[in-house]
Amino acid sequence: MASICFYLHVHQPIRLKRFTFFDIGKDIDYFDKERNKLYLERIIEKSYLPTNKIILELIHKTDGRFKISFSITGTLLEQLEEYPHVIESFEKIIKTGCAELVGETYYHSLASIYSLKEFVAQIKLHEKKLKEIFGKKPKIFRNTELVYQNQIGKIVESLGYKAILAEGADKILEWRSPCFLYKAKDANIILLLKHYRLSDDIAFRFSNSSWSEWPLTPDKYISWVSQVQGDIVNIFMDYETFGEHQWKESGIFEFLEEFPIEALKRGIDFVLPSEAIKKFKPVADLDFPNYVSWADTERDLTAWIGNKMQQFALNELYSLEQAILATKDRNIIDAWRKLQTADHFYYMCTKWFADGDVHKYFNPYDSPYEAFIIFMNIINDIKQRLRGEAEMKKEEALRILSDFSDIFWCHDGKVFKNLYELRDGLKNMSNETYSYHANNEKNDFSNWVRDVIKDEKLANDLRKVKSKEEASQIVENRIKELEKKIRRSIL
Amino acid sequence: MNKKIFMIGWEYPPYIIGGLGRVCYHLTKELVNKELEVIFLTPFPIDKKDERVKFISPKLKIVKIGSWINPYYYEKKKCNISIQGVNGVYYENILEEVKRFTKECEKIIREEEFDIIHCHDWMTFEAGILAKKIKKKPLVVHVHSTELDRGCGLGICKEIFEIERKAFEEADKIITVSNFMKNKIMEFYNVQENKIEVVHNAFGKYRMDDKEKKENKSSISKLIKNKKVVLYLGRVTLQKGPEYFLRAAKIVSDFYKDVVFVFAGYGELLTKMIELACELGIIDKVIFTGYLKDEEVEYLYRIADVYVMPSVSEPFGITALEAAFYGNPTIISKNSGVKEVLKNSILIDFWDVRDIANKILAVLNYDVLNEVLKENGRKDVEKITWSMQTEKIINNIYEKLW
Repeated sequence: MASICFYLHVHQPIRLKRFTFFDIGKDIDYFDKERNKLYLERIIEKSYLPTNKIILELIHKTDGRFKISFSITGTLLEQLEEYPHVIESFEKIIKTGCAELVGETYYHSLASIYSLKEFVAQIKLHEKKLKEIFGKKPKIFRNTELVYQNQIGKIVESLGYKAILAEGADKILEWRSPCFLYKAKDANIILLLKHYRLSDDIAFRFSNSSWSEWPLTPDKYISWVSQVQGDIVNIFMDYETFGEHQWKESGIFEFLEEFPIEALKRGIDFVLPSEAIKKFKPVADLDFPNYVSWADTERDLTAWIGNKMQQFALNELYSLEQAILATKDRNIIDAWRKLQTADHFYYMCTKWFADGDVHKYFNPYDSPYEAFIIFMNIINDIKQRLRGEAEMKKEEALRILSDFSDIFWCHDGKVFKNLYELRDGLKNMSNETYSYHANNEKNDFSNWVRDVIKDEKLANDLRKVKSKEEASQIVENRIKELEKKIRRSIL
Repeated sequence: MNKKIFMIGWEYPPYIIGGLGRVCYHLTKELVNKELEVIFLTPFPIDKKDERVKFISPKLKIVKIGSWINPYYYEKKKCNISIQGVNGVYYENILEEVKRFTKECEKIIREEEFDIIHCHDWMTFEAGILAKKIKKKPLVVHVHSTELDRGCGLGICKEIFEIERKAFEEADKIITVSNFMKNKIMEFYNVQENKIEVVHNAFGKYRMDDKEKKENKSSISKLIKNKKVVLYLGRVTLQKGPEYFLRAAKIVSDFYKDVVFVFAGYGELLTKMIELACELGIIDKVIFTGYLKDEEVEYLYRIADVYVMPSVSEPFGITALEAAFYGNPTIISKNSGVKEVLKNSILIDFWDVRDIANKILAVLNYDVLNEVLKENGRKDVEKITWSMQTEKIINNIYEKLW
C-alpha cells in the first residue's frame, strides 16, 4: 500500500492599510497592524493552537508513526514573534523528529515568475529565518501556491534542495499517476506531486453537505487511500483548512485526530518528504513546460495574474527592483518585499464573480478594484519616496549633517548636537539609558531627529529599531548615505 | 385566449421623468412579445401633444387620462403650482390630483376585462386597489421607490406612506427592483418576505426612434477637449446626493488638473448646487447641463470617463446600468440596488466625499483600472435582459396568481 506524505502550508499575509490617494507622499506606514493582529489572533485561536495540539498528541499516541511536514512563511513567522507560545507549539512538534520543515520564499511571493534573483534572495531569507527560530535547514522546497515550471527546478536544485512539492495536475501527468516520484526534466531534483482529489476532499469538500460523499468519515477516506496504486499519496493543503477554512463545527478536528489512526490500523504508513526520496525511486522524468499551480480548476496562475490589473500591479512592483535594492534601506526593501506577497494579487482577482465564493471568502476588501486601488496608491508612494531620496540636494544633506543648537540632552548627562555624536552616543550608552529614551511609549531619539534635524526618513527608521546597537547602525548608515550624496554632487 | 394585464403606470414614453417610464416601456413591450395582452393606463399631460407613438401592437391598448400628475417639480412655470409642497419635493396638490386620477380610472376599470392588475409606485396604488375590489382580480404592486427613499430621512409624507403600506397589505404579490428595497419594505412596512419577489431592472434602449441618431455636435465637446470627464446624471434632488458629488469634485480638482465635471439633470436643488459649486471655487470646472434629451444623455455617457452615483438611497439606479453599457467605469453608492447586478463597479458610502474623491482619482490615474471596470461592467449589464426579467415576472408571479 502507498505511504501517506502529509504536508501543510502555514501562512498569513501582512495586509495593507486602506491607503488612499491622499496618503501618497505623507510617509504613512503601508501595513495594517491592527487588522493583522486581529486576524492573526483569531486564526491562532481557531486553528494554530488546537491543530498543533492534535498533531503533537497524534505523534505521541502513534509512537512517532504519524509524520507531518510544514512550510511556514517568513511573513507569518515574523508576525508570530509576538506570540512565542505559538512558535513553541510548532517547535515541540518539530523536536519530536516526526515533522519536517519545508523551505519556500520568505514573503510567499511570485518572484519565481518575475525575478529569479529576487526568488533566490527570498529563499535564502527563509532559510535564515528557519535557522534562527528552529535551528533547521530545509532540504525540500515548495514554491508559493505550488507554482512550478522546469526552470524553477534548476534554480532550486542549485540551492542544494533535494526535492520540490508540485501539483499533480492532469494536464502534466496525463495518463500517469501522481502516486510515484518523478525527476524534474533537466534538473537533478525529485518532484513530489500532490494527489489533488484526496487532498481536496479534505481541504475543499469536507464540510460541503451537497457533496455526494458528505459526511466524510476517517474510515471512508482511508478506504479511498488504501485503493491507491503506487508508492506515495501526497496529501498537501493549507494548514488553515483545520479550524479556519473548515470550521470546528464541521468535525474537521475529530477527522484530523482519527484519520491517521485509521490509516495506521490498515497498514498505511506516513513518510516525510525527505524519507520518501530515499525510500522510493523516481519512475520517470516529468516535463513542466508551463507554469502550474494548485489553484482553482485551471491549476494555473490566473488567480494572481489573470487580469490586466494584476499584471500591471506586478509589473510595476518588479520594475522597482533595482531602484529599491540600490537604496540599501532595510525598511523600504522589506516593505517592497512584503508587497510581493501573492495574497495582494489574489485580492485583485475578478474571476470570483463567476468562480464561486472561494476567492471572495478570503478577500478583506469590498472588491478586486478596491484591492488594486490601495496597492497602486502604495506603489506610487514608494515611487515618490525613491524620487525624493534621489532628488535630495547637496545642501539638504549638508544641513542634516551639521550642528544644531537644540541639542539632545541624554539621561546620562551627555549631550548630542549632530548625527555623528548621536551615533557614537548610542553606541556607548547603557541599555538603561537607551530604554529610558526609547521604549514602547516614546522614542526621544526619533523625535529629536524629526523635530530638530528634520530628517523624516531617519526618524522613521529609528522608531522601528529595538536596540541601541541597531539604532547606532541606522544612524551610521544614514550618515554614509548623506556623505555619499555630498561627494557625488561635488564630483 | 390570451391573458390580459391591466397595467397602471404614471410615466410612459415620451414622457419620462425617471427610471419608471423606461421600465414600463420595456416590460410592456416584452409582455406583448410573449403573446400577452396589455391595457396600459397612464396619466397624460393635458397640455402636450402626443407627438411620437412609441410602438403599436394589436395586443397593446394605451389608455390616457388627462392629468397633472407629475410628482416632481419639473415644469413649475407651465403648471404654475407652488413648490412649497410636501418636503418641498412634491406639488402642493399632488394628493388631490392622485385622488382625481383614481376616480377617473374607475370608469375604465369597469369598462375593461383583464386577468391581473400590475401597478407601479404609490400614485397608481389606489387605482390598483380599486381595480382589485371591483373586478376581484389579483393585484401586483411594482415598487420602484418608496416614500422612505424620497424622504431621505428628512421626514416623510404620512399620507403617502400610508397609501404604500395599505397597497403592500392589499397586494397579492409585491415586486421590488432590488434586495436592498426588499429588505427596506420588510423592515419598515412590516411585509412578509414570501410576499415579495425581486426583479432587477435591465438595460434597454429607450430611445425608440433610431432614425434621430444624429451626431451630437454639442457645445460641450469644446469644453471637454483633452480633459477627463466625470459624470453625474440624475434628478437634482436630495435622494441622489448631488452635494456629495460636488464636494468630492472639489477634492479631485485639487489633485487632478485636466478634469471636467459634467453635472447633468434637473431638480429642485439645482440652484443650490450651482451656488455650492461657486462657493467651493470649482464653478469653472463644472458644467451644469440642465434637463437633457435622450440623445444628449447618450452623448454624455459616450464621452464620460467615469460615472458617479452618490445616492443617499437608490432603490435601483438604472442610470448606472446605462452608464456601464456605454463604457463608463461606475462608482456607485452602497445604498443602491443596482450594485446587486452591476458587480463590477466601485462602491462608496455616499457621505464619504474623501473616499469618493479617492476612487475618482484612482479611475482617472490608473488606466488599467478604468479599462477592466469598463469591460467587466458592460458584461454585467449584458447578463440581464428585459426579456429574461419579463419571463421571471410571468413565470414566478402571474402564472401563480391567475
